[in-house]
Amino acid sequence: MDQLYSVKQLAFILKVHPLTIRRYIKEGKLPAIRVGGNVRVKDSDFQNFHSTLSMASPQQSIILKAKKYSAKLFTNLDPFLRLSGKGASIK
Amino acid sequence: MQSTKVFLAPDIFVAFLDRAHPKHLHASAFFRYFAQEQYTLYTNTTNIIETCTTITQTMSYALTKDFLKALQQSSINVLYPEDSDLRLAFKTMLSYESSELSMQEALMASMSSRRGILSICTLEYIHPIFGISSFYLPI
Repeated sequence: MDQLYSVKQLAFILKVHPLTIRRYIKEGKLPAIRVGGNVRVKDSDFQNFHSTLSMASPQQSIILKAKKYSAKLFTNLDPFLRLSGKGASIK
Repeated sequence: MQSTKVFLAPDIFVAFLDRAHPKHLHASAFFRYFAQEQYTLYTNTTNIIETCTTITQTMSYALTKDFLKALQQSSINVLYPEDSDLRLAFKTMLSYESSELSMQEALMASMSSRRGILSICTLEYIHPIFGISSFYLPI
């Protein structure tokens, strides 16, 4: 039989507020069961949730960051170089 | 290791385009070096606007169009000031002791510091804010 965790225990493990755990449960991200009116999460469900949490979040953030800061390199073929000395100011 | 990110000021663009500019050769040397070493060049929208205004006033409107066309195809990265960049620029201007710091310089410094760009390529004096220095060609 799987070990069961309470909301408080999960909040302590993940270092988040208990309300965050309840939100995960409400959104269906973390499967939970009711035992005598109390919310409990199975160890296997928690492990699945934890693996998706640690896998998905950093990768997505890295992709977003890379997209945001993808910068082009200035090379010898750049069309801007053709403009060198193209004009002369009138004094 | 030296950073290969450089922020371009409007005066460097003008000096590069204007062959009668006293610092035209300096500006050309900068751009040749950037191309040779494959630097990542940045500028912002306000710098482009100022460059366009100066080119139109001192040279010609046709050259302004050529400049914009080249910039469109170029790999010079144009940055857009975000809300936080503007707020940092305002704060810097208000707290800086010297009255010679312009809004444009403050915005340029705040944008480059927030993006990890440590040197600004310019032919003018750079105010020592956010640890940003002027770009020098290595001898």
